[in-house]
Amino acid sequence: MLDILGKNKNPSASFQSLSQQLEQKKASVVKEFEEKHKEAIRWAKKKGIKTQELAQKGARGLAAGVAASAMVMSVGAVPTHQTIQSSGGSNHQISKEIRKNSIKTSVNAREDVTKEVKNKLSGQNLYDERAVSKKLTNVLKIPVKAQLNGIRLNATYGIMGYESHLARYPGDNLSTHFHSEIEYNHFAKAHMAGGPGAWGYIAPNRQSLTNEDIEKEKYYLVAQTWLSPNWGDASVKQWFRHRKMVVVNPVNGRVIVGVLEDAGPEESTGRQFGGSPEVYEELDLFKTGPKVLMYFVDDPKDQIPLGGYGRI
Amino acid sequence: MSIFTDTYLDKGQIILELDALEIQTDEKNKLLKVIEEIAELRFIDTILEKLDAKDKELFLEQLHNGSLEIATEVLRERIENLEELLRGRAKAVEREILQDIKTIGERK
Repeated sequence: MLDILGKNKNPSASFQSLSQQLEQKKASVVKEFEEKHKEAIRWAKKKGIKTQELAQKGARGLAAGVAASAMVMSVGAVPTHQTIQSSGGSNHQISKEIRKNSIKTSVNAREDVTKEVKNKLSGQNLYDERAVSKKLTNVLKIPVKAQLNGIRLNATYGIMGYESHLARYPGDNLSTHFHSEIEYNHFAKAHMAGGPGAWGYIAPNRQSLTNEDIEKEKYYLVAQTWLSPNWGDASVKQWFRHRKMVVVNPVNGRVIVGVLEDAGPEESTGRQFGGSPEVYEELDLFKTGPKVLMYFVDDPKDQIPLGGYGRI
Repeated sequence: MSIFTDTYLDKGQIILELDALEIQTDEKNKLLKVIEEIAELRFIDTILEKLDAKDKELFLEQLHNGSLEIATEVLRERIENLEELLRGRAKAVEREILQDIKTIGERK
């Protein structure tokens, strides 16, 4: 009993009470299990396996079987635990005008959200998609999902590579790409990719380029779409195009909202995602290291603007 | 953390409640480990109670010394709505644990 109190020198009172309660519960669950499944216990004894080990090995072993196939089979099911919380009184309203189509999009972001994001993710198992998406949804107040419309990527946590700028239309190059000298001086060092992303040019020509298109390239993201468990259908490939995603640097709590505009990186690189130079800079990944969380944002009305999120 | 329990057990709310107790991170992790062990026992209990003696042995043998594919196949063949069943059990475990944490929180 109370073995989990272990070597902690000054355990808090709440911890002591709760650990005692949970250990008692565990002991009673073990007892109940042993009484109920005598054949299994006999079998385990013959093999030299203890009750807890039987459960542990069983549950963990099944991860590769039932759980893995369940995740694939659950395509189409939308998680029910994710909710958008209403804005609190301390929230700060940011809004952004997009000239194209005269659409006014706005979203509520909390002040100093980076600090809260960092705190919430501290100690969190970053591969736990349910917990992470729930926390991000609550903190960012936008619907953050590992799976959207039954579709998911191969990873939600991994290494992000530093990508080149994409050509937005045929003929776009370093001399046409930037809209101010400051932008040029800051980002031209990243070079241009040889052509467009996996879905082709964002705009057919320079004249048709809109502010929205400029933002899409500026905050473009790259994911291994072909490794998605849903891959295979042309409609899925199309679904990924311009797909809005949130990227979080768990080390400093910085957040950006971007769109998928290219497929990659190659599996051999060991990376799972890519981001434009602007994305990389905004997340400050050169300083913190390249590991990020990347989740879908459910924004059917396109109300969440692209770019850094919650740093006011 | 076990992928199996992570898949079915939504620990998000549990972690939020633990955070509210203002316990240290290592204490939180120790508690989560026990919670996971309880969940594992409940999951295996749920599976075993749906199998007859012969299938139990077949399942356990395959799980520990044989083919995981066969073990999974046995479950899929013998247990209707397996995922639903496990999700239901996970929800019950979650409720139970949340209640325990809340009781401690109220005593503070």
